[in-house]
Amino acid sequence: MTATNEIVLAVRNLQTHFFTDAGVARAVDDVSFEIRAGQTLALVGESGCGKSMSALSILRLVPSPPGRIVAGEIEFKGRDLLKFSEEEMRQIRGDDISMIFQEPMTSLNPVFRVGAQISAAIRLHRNVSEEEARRQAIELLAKVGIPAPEERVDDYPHQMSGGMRQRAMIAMALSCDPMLLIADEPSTALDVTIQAQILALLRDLQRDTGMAILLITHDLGVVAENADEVAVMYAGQIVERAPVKELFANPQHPYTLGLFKSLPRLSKKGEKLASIPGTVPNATHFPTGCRFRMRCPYAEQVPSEQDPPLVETTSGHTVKCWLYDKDFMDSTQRPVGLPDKEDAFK
Amino acid sequence: MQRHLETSSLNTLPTENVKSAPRQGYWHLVWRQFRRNKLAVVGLCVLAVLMGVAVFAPFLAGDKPIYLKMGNTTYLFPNVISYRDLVNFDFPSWEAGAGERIVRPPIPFAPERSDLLRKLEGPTADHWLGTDDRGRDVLSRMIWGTRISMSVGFVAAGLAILIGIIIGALAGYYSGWVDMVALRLIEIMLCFPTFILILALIAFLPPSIYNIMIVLGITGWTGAARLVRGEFLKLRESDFVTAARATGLRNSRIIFRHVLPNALSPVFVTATFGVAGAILTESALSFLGFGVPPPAPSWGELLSQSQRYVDFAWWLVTFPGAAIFITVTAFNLVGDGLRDAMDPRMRQ
Amino acid sequence: MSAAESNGNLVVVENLVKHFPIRKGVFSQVSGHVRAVDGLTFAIPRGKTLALVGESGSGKTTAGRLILRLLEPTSGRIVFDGQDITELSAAQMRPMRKRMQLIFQDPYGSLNPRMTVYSTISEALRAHGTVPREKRRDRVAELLDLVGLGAEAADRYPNEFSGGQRQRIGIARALAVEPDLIVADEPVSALDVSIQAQILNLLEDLQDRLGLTYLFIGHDLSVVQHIADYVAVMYLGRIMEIGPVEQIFNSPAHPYTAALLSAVPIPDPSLHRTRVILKGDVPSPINPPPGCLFHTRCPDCVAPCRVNEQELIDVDPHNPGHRAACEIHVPPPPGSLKTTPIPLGN
Repeated sequence: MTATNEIVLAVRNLQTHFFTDAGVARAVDDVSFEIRAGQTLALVGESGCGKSMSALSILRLVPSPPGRIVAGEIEFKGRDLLKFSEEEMRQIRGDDISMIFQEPMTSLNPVFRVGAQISAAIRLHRNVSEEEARRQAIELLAKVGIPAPEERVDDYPHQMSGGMRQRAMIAMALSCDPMLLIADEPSTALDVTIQAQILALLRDLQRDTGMAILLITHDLGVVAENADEVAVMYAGQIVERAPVKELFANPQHPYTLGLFKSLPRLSKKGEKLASIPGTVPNATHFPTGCRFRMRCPYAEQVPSEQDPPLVETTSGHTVKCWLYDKDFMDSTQRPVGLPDKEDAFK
Repeated sequence: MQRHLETSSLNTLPTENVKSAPRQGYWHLVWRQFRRNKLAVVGLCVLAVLMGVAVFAPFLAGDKPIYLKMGNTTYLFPNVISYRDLVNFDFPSWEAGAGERIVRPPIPFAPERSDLLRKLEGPTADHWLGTDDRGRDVLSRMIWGTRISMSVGFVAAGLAILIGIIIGALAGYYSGWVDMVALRLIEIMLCFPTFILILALIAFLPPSIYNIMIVLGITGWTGAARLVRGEFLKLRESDFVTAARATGLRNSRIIFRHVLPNALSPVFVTATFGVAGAILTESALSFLGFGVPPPAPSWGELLSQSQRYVDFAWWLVTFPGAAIFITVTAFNLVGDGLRDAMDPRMRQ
Repeated sequence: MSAAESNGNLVVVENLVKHFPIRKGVFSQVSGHVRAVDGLTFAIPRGKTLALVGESGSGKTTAGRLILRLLEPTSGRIVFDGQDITELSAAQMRPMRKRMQLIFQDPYGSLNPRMTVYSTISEALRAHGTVPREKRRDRVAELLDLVGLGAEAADRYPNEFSGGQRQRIGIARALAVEPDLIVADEPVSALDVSIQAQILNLLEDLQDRLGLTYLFIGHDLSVVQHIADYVAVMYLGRIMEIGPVEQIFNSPAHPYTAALLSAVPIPDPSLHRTRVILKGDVPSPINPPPGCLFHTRCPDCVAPCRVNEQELIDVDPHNPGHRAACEIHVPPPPGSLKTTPIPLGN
């Protein structure tokens, strides 16, 4: 087991672009984050914000063409994954880093038995006999809470329910004791009671194995209950990063604030929900300057051409917003931070 | 009320989107995607040329002139318009005198006109692609053959698709026993080897180009029918069709306005391949002597004739063969291009 | 049933049942039934919102389609505005259709991709002849304005819009015929949080202004809590608990409701709560368990639950309206087992 708090993966200035007819889509644009052993980093954001593409970039699984990682570093165990050969990458995938997806039906091969798929994954990375791999597959199925694993090991994916398939998928991802598990919306396609089961399972497994988890989700409830640290993504960039409690207690970026305010839980029938006006800009035509500018209630007071700076407001809490840039705010003679948080987005 | 409206208009379209976005009708998107496939575009150009040749055959080859000034009378387009006083007129040997004028097509030979003195000649300055065993101009026959091949191809494939759409649509939309009957009918059709079935049917019918079109049509609809049925079954369950039902629209309107237009794109692709298939089948039939009755020229018939002289008269085999090959390839390239362009996964 | 009898209720549903036959073999023999909806009884007061909540396979979507007569009920009765519409023919039903409309979950599949927004919305006007031809364009512009899209949207195709904008078009289409009832089938489940808030606000705003009655089908309890007046919790085709929204959320009487509420991830990382994580999956609606449908997963299951079918019983006999189908938590008063429309409105 790795010592806690050791950095498992560091992504620096990652840029993944898509070269399409309509122009270059900057799906991931200068994204940096680290994940520590035994910890969960949640990448949150709305559809199209680049959170899934950031994850796929780590495993170098970006669909290409039209996608390509154009710049950045992905440091894993002291080496840059972007400099690996395809063969070296294959050895990493499913072994040191594995991934689970939103829709377990499409990630399991429908024509092979679940057990056979898990043992194949084991034998790909470990030199074990077929019987041994099968034994380990059964053990893994038991570990992820599938009842009667000796029998279910010979099921085909379609014979399992959605929750079971997601468990089997997790078993497969865990087959080689990964140091990092990338979970892309692992519970979104599942019913709420099954979702609770799967997330509890992931938490238990993390406690036992000490693996790091990169949790990609749009659900702030899932973030609150599962993450240690959160990175909020908007239009291909990380706009705010903080430990989970800090972020929920003190959201600093206007977008984060807007997201929290639009949650229906915080209001009652008849009361208007706060909402962020407009829609996410098209990735081929991001506005200049801050990309949230068009939807931001504070935007008229900031420069429209320059990219906002990344400011560390308190230890471990960074925010990409002009309103926290001391020099700029001093020059306009305003206090740093968001004024009137209560009334924003009404 | 006015104020209320404003607050409820939570957002309107961001203006920058409205300006930059081009018109994006379905066919517009398909065309944009299609254009990227260079081979398909080449195929489309070839087809355009072939269509031009088929339509303008009388202006390209034939012994009737495009323009004739004889004495004081001017005849415009005697090649396509019949003038009473020009019936039985011997155009080929007529020479323009002073003040008279004749403009002939670039290939001044009618496809049926034989010149027994010049039979089986290789390509010359007069006969660019040589002559056949009766001294007929091969190029002229090929140009007129284009007409026959293209019209057989389009009409036969069109008929097949039409039958396929009707049967497939009924089967898919109403399902139940209609579907059962249609499926059994398709299975029965599929039991016969198509070409043998076509030969058998042709044998019973008087030889005519129309009969060939009809036979090819009624034997070739099963693919389209199965495709349309599948699309209808899928679309019938789609939300926008449910919405149309919830609106209280009649079945006929739902079928024609909501289901059919969305089911047609894959059919379009099959149709393209269908035309190629029909042209090939017609050539094969003509080659075997069951095709378009002589002396009408068709590519298959040209090939058929050439058999006996294949040892030395290479031009008789090469040019019609190449014409069939190029046409069928062009249709297939366009079909492939269309299929890829219509595939939603290809779109960004 | 007369208008007076319907008691201020726009929709009354009694013992509604829908069994889908499962056909097998060469001659399509019926080999079993999916009990999608298995005895639904409820009423929706005019101008109010009843939410049907449940996991996938609970029959909530089928219930919505049955009420709109888009599916033929196996048995039971649907009364709309005092008129029994259960037996109406397709032709008799057609004029009724302009009084009840449907909004879909999937903003991509619910609009015909080959029709412009104008054709989509005006089609309903044309079908019912409510608006003369020359006024249709104005009416469509008015509707687009009502849902927060500009009139310039009319000549565009669905693929030019984002998910949230498409959802607005779907709402405009539903409103075109000026309906009394709107069945909203998971209208915000496919949308991002910030867009979800916009659409929920729009739905509430439209209800206030146009006096609409909603049957809101959903699985996200935080959304339901925000928008609903009454909630019916469905499980395997039956209602487990029904009542005013505050009572369902603040004092759930049925263990299934309690488990559902407990499974919802709450966006507050400082909150520590003990969860009820249900074991297992939802049983198949082809072979529902005997006795209480929920007994296979119920944490409070005792012997009688495996045998006795459960009826909805008033939680507080002195304050009717809140009912639950659990004899353990809500013991039936002697001799009171019968099904009558639940008086939701006062």
